[in-house]
This record gives sequence, structure tokens and C-alpha cells, in this order.
Amino acid sequence: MSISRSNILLAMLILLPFCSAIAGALDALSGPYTQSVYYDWNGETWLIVQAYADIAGEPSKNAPTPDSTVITHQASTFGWSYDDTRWSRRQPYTPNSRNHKITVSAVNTPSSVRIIDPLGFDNPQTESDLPDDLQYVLDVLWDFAMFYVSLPFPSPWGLILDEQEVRVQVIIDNDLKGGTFRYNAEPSLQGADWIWSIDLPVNRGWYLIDVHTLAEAGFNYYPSIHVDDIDIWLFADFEIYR
Amino acid sequence: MGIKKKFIGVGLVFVLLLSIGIYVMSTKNNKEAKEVLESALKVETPTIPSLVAIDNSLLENAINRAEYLISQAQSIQSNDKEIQRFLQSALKKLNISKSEKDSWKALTNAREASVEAVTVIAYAQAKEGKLSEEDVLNEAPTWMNKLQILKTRLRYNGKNLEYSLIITAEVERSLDSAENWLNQAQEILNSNNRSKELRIAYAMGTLEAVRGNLEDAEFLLNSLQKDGTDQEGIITGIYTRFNKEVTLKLDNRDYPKESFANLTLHEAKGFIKRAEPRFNHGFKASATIDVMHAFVLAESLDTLSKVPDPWYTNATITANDIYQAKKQAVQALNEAIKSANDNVLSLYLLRFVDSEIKTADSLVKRSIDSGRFENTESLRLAYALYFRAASYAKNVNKVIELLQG
Repeated sequence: MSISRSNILLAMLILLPFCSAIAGALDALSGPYTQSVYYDWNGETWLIVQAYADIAGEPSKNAPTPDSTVITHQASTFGWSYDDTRWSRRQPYTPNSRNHKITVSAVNTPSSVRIIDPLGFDNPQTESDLPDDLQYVLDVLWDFAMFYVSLPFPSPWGLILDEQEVRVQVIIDNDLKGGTFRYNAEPSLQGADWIWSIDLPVNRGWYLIDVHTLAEAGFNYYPSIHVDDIDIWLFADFEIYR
Repeated sequence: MGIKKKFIGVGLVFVLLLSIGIYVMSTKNNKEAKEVLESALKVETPTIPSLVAIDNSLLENAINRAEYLISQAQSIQSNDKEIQRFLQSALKKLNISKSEKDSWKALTNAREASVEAVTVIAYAQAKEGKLSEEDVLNEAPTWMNKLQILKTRLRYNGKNLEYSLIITAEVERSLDSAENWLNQAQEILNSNNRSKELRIAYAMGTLEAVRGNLEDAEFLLNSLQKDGTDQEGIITGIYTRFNKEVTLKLDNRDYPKESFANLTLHEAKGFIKRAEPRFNHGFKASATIDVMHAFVLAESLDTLSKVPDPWYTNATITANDIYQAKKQAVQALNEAIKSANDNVLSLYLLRFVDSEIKTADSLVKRSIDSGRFENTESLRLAYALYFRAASYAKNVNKVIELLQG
């Protein structure tokens, strides 16, 4: 794979100040996970794109007093790395992806939960003002990217809150037990951030939450697009002890 | 190359100036709202300490167990990132349990650390094929037996009715919690979209939670008075009276979903629904507390019908609304504590208010952290919770009135 190492170095330098601000509130819950899309390229296996996802939140939550309203904050990131364009018979094959989505849903909970205050983030290449908790998820993702250092880091600029609601659409399920974040700009790094509010009375046990990152990935080549599904499951499960 | 650099340089300066411009513009508008929200958080909420004390020996044992399990988990040679992360969380909780002054909080953190450490150990063992679903299922009956034995020791004695009610409610809460967790072990094993290792790990964690809850219950049982008047008959009477009263109050009530009274009505019904099986299982004190919560919430419904629902409305909640609501909630709580006049049952119920205000505070904090100072869903929920907390505090005395009337 042809990758510019200097990009990683640059990214590291720029991101270092962000990384120092680790929020104590959230822990990694599940992941990180990767999924890769390969293509059989003239007898060689070509890793076209790789997607990785991570999730953070509180693995357990105790109500200050049993019976009172409990809220818990969770966040997820979904990043991409693409290989360079390749050429064959003057035809460019550019790694690409589309239909980026993060879906969140409460699958099994001892008490009824509702999603509240969902925020979508992506990286339109500008300076960012991140909530601490989200920065933490970014740090987790950063650690992970460094672990797989053979890949270019997706963006040195981090994520910013979307205010126009065009780049990121958030659709909440009718029963409030989940929602979908659609990233219309198809960024190489995106995030979702939400709160669960647990209805009274709050019961104990494991609260099972699925987070599903989805996209189609591959490369463009005229006149069509070759695609595979990227489909990473993450578990934002948490427990309430008493 | 030189031109390119120059171009990048100009671009960077432009971006910098633009961001400074945007920053100055937005801070002017937001600064005031942000300050109001921050001052709302500074309004100090009185904390009502836990009324049922726990012993140092119980806490020490819980910390020792967490320490032991964590060291076991640490000795697992694994580069599985998932495992390492659970372990880090367990370590963090262990540290909290050692430094936390509130002994209940310390205990809960130690218990949670144990649950997470067991989850780590079980995950590794399941991965190596050393732990199966059958192993979990074989262990469950032992805990069920222990639970049944402890249940027979439940007593409703006490120096007075209020004290007997709250301390027995705490014992029952631990036992009920253990029962809930135990029932979940099987359910977790059946859930189909978690890996087998994770299911086994969670189920083993579940059994560790059962163990913790039973140890807590056993400790609390030992601290129950063996002499004193038996209040069981009286408590049964109180449960029946409140249940009847609140069921009447909630019958035929209906609110549009755009009003927070709708959710509160639903939640009050939830308390009654939970109380019934609790009562039938012999957990009479905690069932009584449940119907009391339902009763106070029912009393608050009409006031709450004017409060917008956070999910089904787009009502504008400003920073100032938040400040006022918080102030009123704290004021109502202060007054309620004063008029509770050391009545332990009133104080016990008022801990609900203290806790709701703190939950609302953390929602306000989220809005500040994410740089949105007005009209977020978080602020709408915070507003509703402050409002409900105030109303709850004002109505707690009606429980005492009904009790004595």
C-alpha cells in the first residue's frame, strides 16, 4: 500500500493538544472494530478501503438514589481510510464510499429508555470545538488508528458539530428507542453522540444497546461503482447494579 | 512550490481571521446565556444523606473482593482490546470506591468493579472454551437458594413505623435486585446478536451482581431490629390504602403527549405496576415505597400539565427559564426538608428530589459542554425535571397526612 507517512506525523502534531484533554466521564464500551473491503487486482489482493468504529459511554450507571431518573451519555465514531487511486488502461480506480450511517437502538432493557439530544458530527476540515466527552471518543479512535499505523489517519482536524442539518441528518425512531445518523457529506471521520433517559421506575440489570455503522464502499470506475457493504456492530451496553 | 506555500499561508491566515470573526460574533450572543446556565448550576442543592447506614466491614469486604477479582483479571494474558477496556473501567471504579466519602456510593462502585472484573475473566475463559453456558446455568440455582433463605429472614420490626419501613425497604431492594439479575442471566444467554463469549461473560457478571446484592441484603438484615413492634400488618394496611388511593387518582386520567404530565402519568403507573409483583413476592416495604412515589407523582400531574414534553414539543426553553426552574426546585426542597422535621420517611422520599435535580444539572452541563445554550432537548428535559422535582417536594407532606389520617 502506498501511504504518506508524513501525513500521520502532521496529524499527530496537530492532534496532540486535543489528546491531552481526556474526559474522565466516558469509558470505551466496545470495539474498536475494523472492516476492510478488498478487491482482486490483477492477481494481487488490493485493500481498497478500511472502516473502523468505536464507542464510548459509561459501562455502568448508578442512580444517586434508586427510583429517580437516570440518564447516560454515549458516543460513537466511525472513521475511514482509503488507498490511493490506481490506474488500469487509462482508467482511474478511486477508492470511495457512500451512504454513511450510524444507527443506534435499544434492543433489550429492564426499564423503558428514550433517546434524547442526539448530535451528529463530521469533519469538514475546520477547527473544532468539541465537547470533552466526544474528544475522548476521538482519543480512543486515535489510539486505535495509531495501533494500525499502516493506515493514513482520516483527518487531523477532528469533528465539528453540525449546525446546518444538511451534512448530518438525525432521524429518531417513533418509539424513541433509537435513531439513525445519516452523513450526507460522506466524510472520512464522523461521530454520533446521544443520551439515554431511563423512564421511572428504574430497574436493574444489563441494558443492551446496539450501535451499527453502515456504508457501501469500494472504488469508482467509469461508468459504474463497485461496492461492498461495510457493516460494523458495536455494543454500547451498560449495567445498573442496584 | 513557492507559490503553493504562499497560497497555503494566505489560506491559513484567512481561516484564522474567519474563525476569530465567527468566534467574536457567536460569543457575544452566547456569553450571556452561558453565564445564566452556569449560575443555575451554582445554585446549591441540599444533599440528604442516606438514611440507612452501612458498616465499614461490608465496604472493606466489597473492596477486597473487587481487588482480588481485578488482580485475577489482570493476570489474564490477552491482547484483546475489549477485555483491557472493561478492566480499566473496573480499576477506575475501585479507586472511586476507595476515595468516595459517601459509603453507599463507595460500596456500589466496588460492586460494579467486581461485576466488570468477573466479566473480563469470564470472557477470557469462554474464549478458551473453559466456561460454557451450562456452567452459568448450573451456578444459578445456588444463588436462588441463598436468596430464598435470606427472604425468610425478612422482618418488619422497628422502633417506629417510618424507620422500619425504610430500612426493610432497603433490604428488600437488595433482594429484589438480586432476583432481577438472576432472572436476567438466562435472558442474556438467549440474546441473539451478542457473541457467545460476550453472552457468557455478561451472564457471569450478572451472577456477580447477584452475589453483591445478596451480601448487601445479608448485612442489612443483620442490622434489622429483632425486637420492637412488628409493623408488618400496619405496612400491609398502608400499602393497600395508598394503592387504592393512587389507583383512583390515576384512573381515567389522560394528558396530551405534548405535556410532561403524560410521561409522569405513565411513570406513576409504572411504579404501581412494579409494586404489585413486589408485594406478592413478599417485598411489602419496597412495594409501599413504590406506591408512595406513585402517589406523590399523581399529586403533581395537574401542575405538570403546563410543562412541555421534551420529546413531543419544540417549546423554547431559555437559559433564564432553566435558572428560574432550578431555583424553585431547590427552594421547594429546602422548605420540604425543614417541614419534614426529621421525619425519616419524608426525608427518604425527598432523596428522590435531590437526585432528580442532580440529573437535571447534568443535562444542563451537557448543553454548556456542547456549546448550545438555549432550546436543546437536554434543556427541555432538565426544565421538566426541575419543575417536577419542585412539585414533588411540595407534595411529599401529603403522604405523611394520609399516613396519619
